[in-house]
Amino acid sequence: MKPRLSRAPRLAPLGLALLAAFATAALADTTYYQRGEAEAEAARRRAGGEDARVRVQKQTAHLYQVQLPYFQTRAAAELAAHKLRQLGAKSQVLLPKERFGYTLSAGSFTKAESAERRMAELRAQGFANLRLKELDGQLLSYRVESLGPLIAEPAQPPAAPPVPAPAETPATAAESTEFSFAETPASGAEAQTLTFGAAEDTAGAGGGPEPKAVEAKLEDLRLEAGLPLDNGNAADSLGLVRLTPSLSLKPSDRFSIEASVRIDHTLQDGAASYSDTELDYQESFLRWRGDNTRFTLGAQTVLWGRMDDLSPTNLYVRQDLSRYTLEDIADRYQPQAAARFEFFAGAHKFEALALPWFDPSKLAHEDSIWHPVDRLGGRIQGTAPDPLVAALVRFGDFEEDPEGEDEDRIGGGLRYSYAGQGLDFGLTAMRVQPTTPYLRLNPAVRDALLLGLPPPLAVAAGSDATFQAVYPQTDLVGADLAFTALDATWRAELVYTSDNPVTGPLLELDTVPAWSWAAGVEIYPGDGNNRLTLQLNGKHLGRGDYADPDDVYSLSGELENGFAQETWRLRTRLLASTAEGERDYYLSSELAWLKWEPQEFYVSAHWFGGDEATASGFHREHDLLLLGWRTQF
Amino acid sequence: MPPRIAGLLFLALAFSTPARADEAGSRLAQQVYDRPDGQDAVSSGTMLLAEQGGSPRSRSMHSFVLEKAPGETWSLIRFSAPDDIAGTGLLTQDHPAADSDQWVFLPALSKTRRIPGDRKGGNFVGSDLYYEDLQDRKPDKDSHTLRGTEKFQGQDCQILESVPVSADNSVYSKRVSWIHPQTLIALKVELYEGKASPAKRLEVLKISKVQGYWTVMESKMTNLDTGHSTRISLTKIAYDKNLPDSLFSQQTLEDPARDAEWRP
Repeated sequence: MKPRLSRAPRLAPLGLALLAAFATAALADTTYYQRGEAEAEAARRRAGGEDARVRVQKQTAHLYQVQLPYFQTRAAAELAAHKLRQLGAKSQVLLPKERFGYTLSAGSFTKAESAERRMAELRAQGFANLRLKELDGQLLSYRVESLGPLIAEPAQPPAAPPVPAPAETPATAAESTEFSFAETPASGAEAQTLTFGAAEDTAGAGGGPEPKAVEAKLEDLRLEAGLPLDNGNAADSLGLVRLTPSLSLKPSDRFSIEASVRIDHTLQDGAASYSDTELDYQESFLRWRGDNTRFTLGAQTVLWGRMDDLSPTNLYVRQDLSRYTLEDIADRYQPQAAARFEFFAGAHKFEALALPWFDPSKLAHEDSIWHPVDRLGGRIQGTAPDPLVAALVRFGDFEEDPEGEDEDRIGGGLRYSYAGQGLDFGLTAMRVQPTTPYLRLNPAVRDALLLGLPPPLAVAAGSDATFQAVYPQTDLVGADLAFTALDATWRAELVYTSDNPVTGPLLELDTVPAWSWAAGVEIYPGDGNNRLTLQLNGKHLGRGDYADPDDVYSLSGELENGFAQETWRLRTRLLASTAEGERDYYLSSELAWLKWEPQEFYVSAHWFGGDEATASGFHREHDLLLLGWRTQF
Repeated sequence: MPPRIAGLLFLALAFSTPARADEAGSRLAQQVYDRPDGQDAVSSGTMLLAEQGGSPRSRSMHSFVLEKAPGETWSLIRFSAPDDIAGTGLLTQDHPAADSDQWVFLPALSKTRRIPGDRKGGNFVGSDLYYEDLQDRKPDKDSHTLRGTEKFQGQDCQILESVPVSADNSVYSKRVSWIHPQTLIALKVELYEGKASPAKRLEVLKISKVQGYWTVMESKMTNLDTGHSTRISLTKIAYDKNLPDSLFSQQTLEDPARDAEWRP
């Protein structure tokens, strides 16, 4: 057991007093700093036949505060405050920062000797940077007042005091008596409830549904129809039906179980028609909670990245890319198999994550217009048009699933994060695989091409797929932060990855290190119902001779307008990027009618444009109008 | 504890805390602000959003409030309905000499995001309440003038006019409050947004004495331009539960099961 600091007999629980972590003695014989003690004393007197009540008093007092100055970083100060709290002292970081660093309080006392005793205790615990500061603070105290002999059934209840005082007798909410103002109270009686106008009896209806031990829900029911806007599109119409049933079990306060799946039925009609039904797992896990810990085993979504969109840290998170960028963030990030341990210590959090097997991001059906390979056109999303690549695409085949060691690798990582006064930050270290595929040319096909064979013959030289998706494991080290200033929230991430796939001059696969960063801001323009997020991203590959761009920059953002008492919502998204002179953009706008909650009826338009060598440029003939309805039960 | 604590909302808070142009007005504002309302409180309640000719929408929530020290209030709101926002949590830490910290937990992403804690405008979850209406408003942010007495709902009330000391510290240009002297609760507040006539009106419909604390159990905020109104009903409340600091932590914010045991 950890040693604890001494407490005076009538100790204030520090919520009651300004900066007062520890007070020492009552102000008078009948005054207490702890409400429970005062109530107990009042009850004791009543049991002895004397009526008594507790009054709350506020008063200014001269205090002696024990302080620990000179912490150079906020984090170090918070950690020391946490240690002090573990020792039983009420401690907090005092702001603003002083000239020579941050200062902690470690207790405020009405008597100097009590403060000195505290300092001696702290010295014994190894704290050296101690000082005593005198200040005036406000204290709350509880005075027990005697009201004379106790009468069992008072004929005349006391009149209402001019200023209400705390309870004469402790009572629960259910015990409060009701009285309508329309019914004039008996003379002299003190009203306990005042009703004005047409108040409704809503007792028992508050707080919504009570938590259940077993709960089945339909998290998402969605119907969507899409109409391509370009004549040259391979599809005349698109459709989606989505069902996401879930089951929650809570056998005890410590344990909970979640199970959920998603069923997507997609349709595409036109020159390239198909229909497909897919079943995919969603959040499905067993969770155990300790006092300061939480352990989650199973399919879960773990987002360690600070940024909402395009987080460099979240490269390990499985995504739904089956409709390119159409899914919003909540639907794009998908659960994945993981074991996660979380330890909380005040504002500090330590996490360990194990990814026991690899599951890549979900890509579109091979006949879908959203598939990253255009077999008819001989193009691959994000690559420049090239006759050789076009021939290989037309004659070759693709393997998107991870193979060999990509399939078997175990990943994981550690994270420390802090969320406290004025600042959140995190540090992450991982060894993981990116979940988005990088297409590698089959080495046998490459060798055949280098020997001068034409593409159709070179493709035949490879026994495996012509193009194989690879997911090379990488070390990842990252730092991120968030803070508010100028009525805005600012977020940033910086990430180093050791192994990023690139294609060399002889079409060989290689890996190089890279730095990625992101910086964003979230504001509410006009201080109203509009929310704007803007984000800049950059990725810089290590120098080398390869086909991939060295530097990629992107700008993304979202403007959300709620109007007509938020029964309507207009949401506009932008994603634009540039790399070595090639540019692209994606712009969408969605108007949703929300009045019949939780149903949403929406119409959205999506525009894609840019150079052919870019991702959105690849989809520039896929401009789309969507009509949809979604709800949940 | 400042009136902010009063259960569902926290409502009464902002409106019952006008506080200086004449001495009597300032004194009354300070009394209203200092009205005892417990060291902490847990409550459950519902907001009913109604518009003329339309069916109402509702939001249900649990709220937890702890006064750590004068001027330092921590609160947690957990939404339980409708389904699309159930589980969403809002954690706020107000500091006496620094900006407020606020985080929102989004269950759909299993993620906590820091958001500006001092946002004033914007409708809170589509209701007629502005974010400012949920915040602790100290008396010294306004200059107060006592405008006399008037009967409201049969009660003799003192009329207090409160004008922001600095125009940029409030969405409102003026508040006029009908203060019930026995309970020190504003039974009616008219809220002005720069025009001669009020933009919104808050009316208290029911107050009860719970554990010795006068509590606003039911109130209604009406947008006088559109007729849209929000009825706030507090159905369960308990004070002085000795709520632990850990209830107002990231750990609890990210795990609704942790606050379930403290719900009233």
